[in-house]
Amino acid sequence: MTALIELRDLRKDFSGVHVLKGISLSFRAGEIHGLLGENGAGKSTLIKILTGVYAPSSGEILMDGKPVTIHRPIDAHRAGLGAVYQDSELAGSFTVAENIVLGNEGGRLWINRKKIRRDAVDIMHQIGLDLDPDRRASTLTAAEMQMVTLATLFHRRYKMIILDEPTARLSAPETKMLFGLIARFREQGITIVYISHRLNEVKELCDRATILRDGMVSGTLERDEIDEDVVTQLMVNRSSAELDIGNAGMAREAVVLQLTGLATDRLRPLTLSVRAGEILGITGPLGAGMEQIERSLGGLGAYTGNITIDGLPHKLHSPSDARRAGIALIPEDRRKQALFPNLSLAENVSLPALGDLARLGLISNRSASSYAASVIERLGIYPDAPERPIRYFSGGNQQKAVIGKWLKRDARVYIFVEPTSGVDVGAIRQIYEIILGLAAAGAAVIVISTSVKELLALSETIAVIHHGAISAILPRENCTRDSLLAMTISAAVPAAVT
Amino acid sequence: MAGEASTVSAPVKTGAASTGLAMRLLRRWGTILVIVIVGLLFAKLSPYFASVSNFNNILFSMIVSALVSMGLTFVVAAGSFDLSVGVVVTTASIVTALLIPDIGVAGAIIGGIVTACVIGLINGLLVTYARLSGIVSTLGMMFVLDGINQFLTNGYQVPVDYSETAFMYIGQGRVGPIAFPVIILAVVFIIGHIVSTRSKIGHYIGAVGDNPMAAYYSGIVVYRWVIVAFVMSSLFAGIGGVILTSISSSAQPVGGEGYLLEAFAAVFLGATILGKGKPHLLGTLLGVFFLYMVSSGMNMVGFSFAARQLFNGLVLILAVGANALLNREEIHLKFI
Amino acid sequence: MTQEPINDDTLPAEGPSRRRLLAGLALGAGTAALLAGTRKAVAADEFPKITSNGKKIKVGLGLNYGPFNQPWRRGCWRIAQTVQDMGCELVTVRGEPSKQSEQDSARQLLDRGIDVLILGIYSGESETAYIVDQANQKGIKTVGFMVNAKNSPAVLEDTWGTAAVMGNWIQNRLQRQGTIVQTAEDKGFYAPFDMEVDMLSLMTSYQPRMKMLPFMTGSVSTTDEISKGRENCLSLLQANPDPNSLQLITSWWWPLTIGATQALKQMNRTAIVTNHYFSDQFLDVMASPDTPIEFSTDVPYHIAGDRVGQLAVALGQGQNVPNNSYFTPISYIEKSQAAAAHGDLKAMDQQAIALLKQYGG
Repeated sequence: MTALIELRDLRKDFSGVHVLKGISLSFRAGEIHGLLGENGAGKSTLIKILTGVYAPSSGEILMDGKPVTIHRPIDAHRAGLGAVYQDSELAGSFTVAENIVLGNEGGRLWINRKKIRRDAVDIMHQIGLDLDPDRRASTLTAAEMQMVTLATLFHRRYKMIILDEPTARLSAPETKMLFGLIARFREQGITIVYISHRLNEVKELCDRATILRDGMVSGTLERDEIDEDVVTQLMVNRSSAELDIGNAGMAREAVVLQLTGLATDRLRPLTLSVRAGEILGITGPLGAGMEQIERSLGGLGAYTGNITIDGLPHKLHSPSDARRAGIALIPEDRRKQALFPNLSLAENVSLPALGDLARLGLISNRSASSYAASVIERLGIYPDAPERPIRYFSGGNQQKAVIGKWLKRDARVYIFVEPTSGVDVGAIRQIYEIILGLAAAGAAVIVISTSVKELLALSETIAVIHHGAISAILPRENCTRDSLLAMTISAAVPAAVT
Repeated sequence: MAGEASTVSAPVKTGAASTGLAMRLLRRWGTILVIVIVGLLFAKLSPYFASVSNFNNILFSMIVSALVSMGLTFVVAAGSFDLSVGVVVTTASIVTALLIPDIGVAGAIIGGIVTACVIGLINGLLVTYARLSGIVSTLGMMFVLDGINQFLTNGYQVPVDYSETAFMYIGQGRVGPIAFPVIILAVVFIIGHIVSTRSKIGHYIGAVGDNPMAAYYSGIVVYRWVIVAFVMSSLFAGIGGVILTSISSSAQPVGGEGYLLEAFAAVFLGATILGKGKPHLLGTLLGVFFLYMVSSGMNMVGFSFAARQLFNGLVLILAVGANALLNREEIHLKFI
Repeated sequence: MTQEPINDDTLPAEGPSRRRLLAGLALGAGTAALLAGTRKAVAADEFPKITSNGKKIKVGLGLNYGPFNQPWRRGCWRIAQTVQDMGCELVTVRGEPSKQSEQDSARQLLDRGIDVLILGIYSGESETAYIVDQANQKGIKTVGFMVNAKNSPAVLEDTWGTAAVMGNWIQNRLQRQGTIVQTAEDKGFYAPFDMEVDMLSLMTSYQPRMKMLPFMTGSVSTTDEISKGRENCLSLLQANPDPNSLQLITSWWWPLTIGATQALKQMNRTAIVTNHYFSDQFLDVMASPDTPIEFSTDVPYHIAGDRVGQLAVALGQGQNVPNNSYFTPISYIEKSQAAAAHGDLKAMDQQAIALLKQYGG
């Protein structure tokens, strides 16, 4: 196969910080090429250069053997290069159909709404996406937005599409749909660059995979060479055995969080308790009701029923009520809900703690920045640049910053939703260690996740939700990967487990 | 409006009363309902209010303000502000009046409108390539134009000779019972409406205003559409200036500033009309109509000066309040 | 201050007389005969004698004055009173003090079955030309109140004359030496102010030992003009810190005058202040013993109102009225007459408020 795109000694630095230190790589037409690497290895920057958001500091990009200049997104657009980012954005007030076709409506001046809708419905049909095309994009959930973005790319018939952690917010059935879509792309000879931390996916999909480390290519493997140990070695220079982590069981006697008859318009009356030191994992198909639990406990939604913390009843009408009750919610969509993109890392981290850091109502800069420094160290946030705006940090480090916000508050209940969505291997371990540490210190922890592996690593007890009610709740040691996966897909609990 | 979800779960609704048909109707037509009710109130209080002739009067009064407000809608839809809209009317008016004796009516009209477009272009360039904030640069432009207006006229009016009947027809002519400039307004509105709802201009301006990042990543040339929005804004104001010159048989050196505040009120009031939530031309037009209808009503009923201000304010708050009350679904985090 | 027009013969002999002298020389007539004449001989100043012919007609008037526009209100009072006294009916709508509102009110009145429409006081002849055309199509006559209207008679302020009176008084008071400054509403907003400002500047420029500082622009009717006047004056005084650098401030609009006196007090400076346009608040300030205000002219709006009312009724009744501009006489007082003038004014204002209540106040 011929090389569609070749990168020669591509370098990029941001005011003295060298992010890409000479990348030489080639992508063949019609192949699915995985791209792996730790935080700060340079994957995001590489994509942004390929899609024209950044211009390279030096080096060449060749398409079909001829050098091309890609300095603005429109150059990439015309060259046929596109990407779907972890935080893909849609125009909220436009409909799903309009978003799918945005920028590509055809015609010179006039917009044909019927044609837009037809084209969009067509595409959604082809990829099997079942959404109302007239729905306003602002009403979509994060997962739905991702699917719409993917549909957009299908419409544009690019030559090469870069997918950055596309399955991060997808459930199992949606992931299947995505793979089908990728297969269709490949049939049309489109090259896919597939960035993911989930090795099993990479192995299943990709013809080849390249691993980046510290801004350079660490190695390129053929499909059959892809192996967890080899990859981990190339990524972090440590063996994967050191990365195994699990919950030994730390639950104490006292019940910290008690939910009695908690119900919303989509949740049937739920009764649940979490003890001090216990990590309760909750999973289920999207829409089953986990979001409802998250919202009720976070003070973001109306509910009926009782919530008791350490024996005291609480009424949670707003996020500040939840905070005062001692609940810390670390949500899924960190960019929109948890971070201030233009504020620095230090500001983001110390913001919720300002009350505690103030003396006589005045905040000392020193105490705020030393607090931030301690958080950065404790959580291993990289790079150690507390003044840099948070949006320049990679997903994993942003996630750590979000967790860092809560460390001083000594919450009694922690709720994590998809804690390692879009986070790489090295950071995952650190985040798991943090979560386990919180439980060890005596808090009650709930982890809501669609990653079976994650739940098995972290939880002491696992609950599965279906159609707004708990379909199964059992200790972790009674679950295996397959049985848990089965329970998630169907509400039936396999006999062997009870 | 939010449609029904299919296989994927819909977002949680908080505090929604009943989601029946009545509620949906109210949400869509609520503001219009307030407008109609206020109109009926005036009709009851004064026998002269509800007449064809008064309706024509209201339409006539609002022509320039409506044009300015509609132009501003484009800029607000693109996510920026244009504080120079009012003064552009004056500048275009002055240029037109000055040119008539020298190059004739047609040339003068083109001159006035081109001047306005050039101002819009400069505004657009300042906000995009020069990376200046919309508010600050158009505010600066407003002062600059004020100075230019004084410079061109020395503070005196620029008269248009009474014999220029062709030109006078633009602002003072009648077609049957309808004033000619009202017809111009209607035509401009229709063209504007088509452009904003059916053409790439409107579609992309809306995309840029909604989510500039998403537009950028879609390959839309964001800068271009922002500049187009500013040109549209000044273009509409320029047309208003030409019409004003014709109505006043002269160009006055000052007087455009009043349109600015009215225009913003109309644009944001209009955004709540028909439940759209974002600025759109029809809403703006109805918003302007509402403001002028209230003024006319107060004139006829004979409100005292103090009462006028009070009533104007209350009625505005009521109009947007009705909409807010009925749309209490999502978390309210939009304070503009 | 009485309600009679002040005898114009008391005016200084400069100005218009010089004009007539030159005109007379051009005609070749003897100077003596011309000098013996008075201003009243000029047609523009003489107001015709008007009586009602008994026909009951409707006069349309827009009540657009705001809280600062007391002279305007006085004028409207006399219009209303005159119309009533002549046995006719007044039709009104209530607007705001702006050009837009004035024009809106005028157009609304055209539909009320009136026989004659009164136009004024902001929109100039050009701007109301289209309204006059519409009125004529409906057979409605028009008359201008403090502004000209197309093809219509009008009663106007004698702006040139007022400025001449003011200028002459100032030049005598200062013995033709010193620096003065003037302030009024924004240029272009109210033409009479612009005319008076220009005239005074012209007169000053002919005096070699006098200097006129740049015009201080005030504000417009819909804002707080006393504060603006004070602000402007403070800046002026800051920019001219030497106490001998400014001798006199002329303000053509009373709120700006009050602002100026406040500024002088605040900065502890002395300067002579002159004013145009009386008002209740203004005369109060002028009557107090330590005020710097020494001279004020006024436009007798009540006389203008009388005359406009008469013209309107005459036109409405079909009488023959030539389309001339008629000027009001110029009123002026010095400090010692302020208290008396104040009393007269208050009496008039009370009557004005009482009468206008029936028209919506």
